[in-house]
Amino acid sequence: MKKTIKHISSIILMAGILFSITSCGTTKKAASGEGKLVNSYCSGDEFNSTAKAFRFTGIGQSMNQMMSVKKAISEAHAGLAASINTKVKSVIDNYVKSGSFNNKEELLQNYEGMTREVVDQNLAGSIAICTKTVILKDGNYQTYVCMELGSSQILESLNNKVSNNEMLKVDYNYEKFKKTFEEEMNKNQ
Amino acid sequence: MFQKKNDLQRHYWENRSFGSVFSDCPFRFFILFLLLFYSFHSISQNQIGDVMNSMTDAKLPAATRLIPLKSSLPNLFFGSPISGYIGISDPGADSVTAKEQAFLRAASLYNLSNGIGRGLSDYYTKDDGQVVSNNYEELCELNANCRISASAFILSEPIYLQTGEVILLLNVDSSFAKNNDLMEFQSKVSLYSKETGSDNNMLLQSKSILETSYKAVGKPGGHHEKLNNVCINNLWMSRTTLYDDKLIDNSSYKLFYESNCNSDKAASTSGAESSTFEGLWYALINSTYHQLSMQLKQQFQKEKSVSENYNSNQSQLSRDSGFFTYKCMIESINFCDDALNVKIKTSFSSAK
Repeated sequence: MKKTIKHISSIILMAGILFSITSCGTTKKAASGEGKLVNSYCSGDEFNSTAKAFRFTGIGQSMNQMMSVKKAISEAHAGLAASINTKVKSVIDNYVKSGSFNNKEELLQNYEGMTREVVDQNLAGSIAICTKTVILKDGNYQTYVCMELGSSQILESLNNKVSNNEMLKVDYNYEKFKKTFEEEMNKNQ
Repeated sequence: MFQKKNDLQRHYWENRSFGSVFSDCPFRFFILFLLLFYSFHSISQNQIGDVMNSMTDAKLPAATRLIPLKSSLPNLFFGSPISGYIGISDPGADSVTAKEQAFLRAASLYNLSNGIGRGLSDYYTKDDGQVVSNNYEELCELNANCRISASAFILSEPIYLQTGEVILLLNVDSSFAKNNDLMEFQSKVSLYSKETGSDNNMLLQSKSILETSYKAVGKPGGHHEKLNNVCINNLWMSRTTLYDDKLIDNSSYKLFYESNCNSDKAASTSGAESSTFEGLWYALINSTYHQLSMQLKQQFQKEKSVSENYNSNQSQLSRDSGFFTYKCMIESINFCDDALNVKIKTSFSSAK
């Protein structure tokens, strides 16, 4: 008898829970049709990449404030490196294609290997231009970090690498390369 | 294009953060309460008996001894500018050993104020369409060696706290240096941090291990020390001190200090605060080296990443690392609400 009462009461309880979950909260939001305003930090025009600099904002969450900063920096570093990698590849493609090189395919292969190395090294000199930390409702920290790296530093590093490469320096024209680089960078604007 | 990706990512994270199930409906709390009440009553007397038996079988943690007095701290701990290097002994040692330990620690801070730092961190994120998880792992190491005349050290009068700790302030004036009392210092700090989390960070777990080793060789006497602190989910789990190969176990003490601060903690938090319940020295080095590792991380220059993106699965492993010479000075220390906040001044340059 006791068992039967228990079963019945548990069924009623579960039905109540289902009813409560489906009957309040979210439906009100949907009916109103208004989105929730979300605060965003380290974002906007001043934190976008331009012709002068690469920028990327990373976000990190943690129960520890400093760890949340570190996670955000990791994400920003990865994003920055990916942005540079894509851009430099594009510059090299355009540079080689626009030239009258005899061994284009071989050159492209050499350049690609070299740019990977450049991207690895080029984050030196990057700086955090914005750091904001907020405490979330659950007590965890969320940090926004925008890292910036000047395009001139990338060009300089790339130029040093090419100039030191025996295979590439024969056909290398710095002024022409610089022009291609700046054309690509201006596309960020 | 990159910014767009960035914005999407931000929007995603922010939406994840505020998705609390019970946040907007008080009726759900009532249902939850009913559920808990029902569950509690459904445990029969026999089950309660089993639970009680299992509790008595379990090993209880060692009793924590509280030092009932609140020690007064010198002005040094309330924001005064610090000129020199501070050393603090563990509580409980005799006065001679405590002074020697405080000196060794102050000299090691002097040694570590100019050293070589290197670090590496891996950050793995995975989104399989249903669960987003991440794993952060980092190791940061500081190394410093120096030789200096013992006569160049200028020590302040020791300050004795009621907790049994001894505080010394060390300054260095090389004009007093002699050739016949050279001391050699070798100092090393290693900070390992790991954190894993998944959707809405419900499974967030963190661990950090701070290890320091100091060694002084030469006249007037050589000593060495190794410290190991383990924190799990921001709570102290264990700490051990090996001083001249003798284990000093103070882990069962809780220490208290008088504070006169009225600052609004929420407004002033910098993330560098470290609890002083385990002693001033642990709090000092914990706050200092965690900050230093964070600043070192900002200087990381090598970045490698691998990412995969197919169907609804995305994963990325990124690794950044750096190798630097650094300079670090403690500018001021603030004690408030049983925590130390150390303000440091640093500079970095790439190591060749």
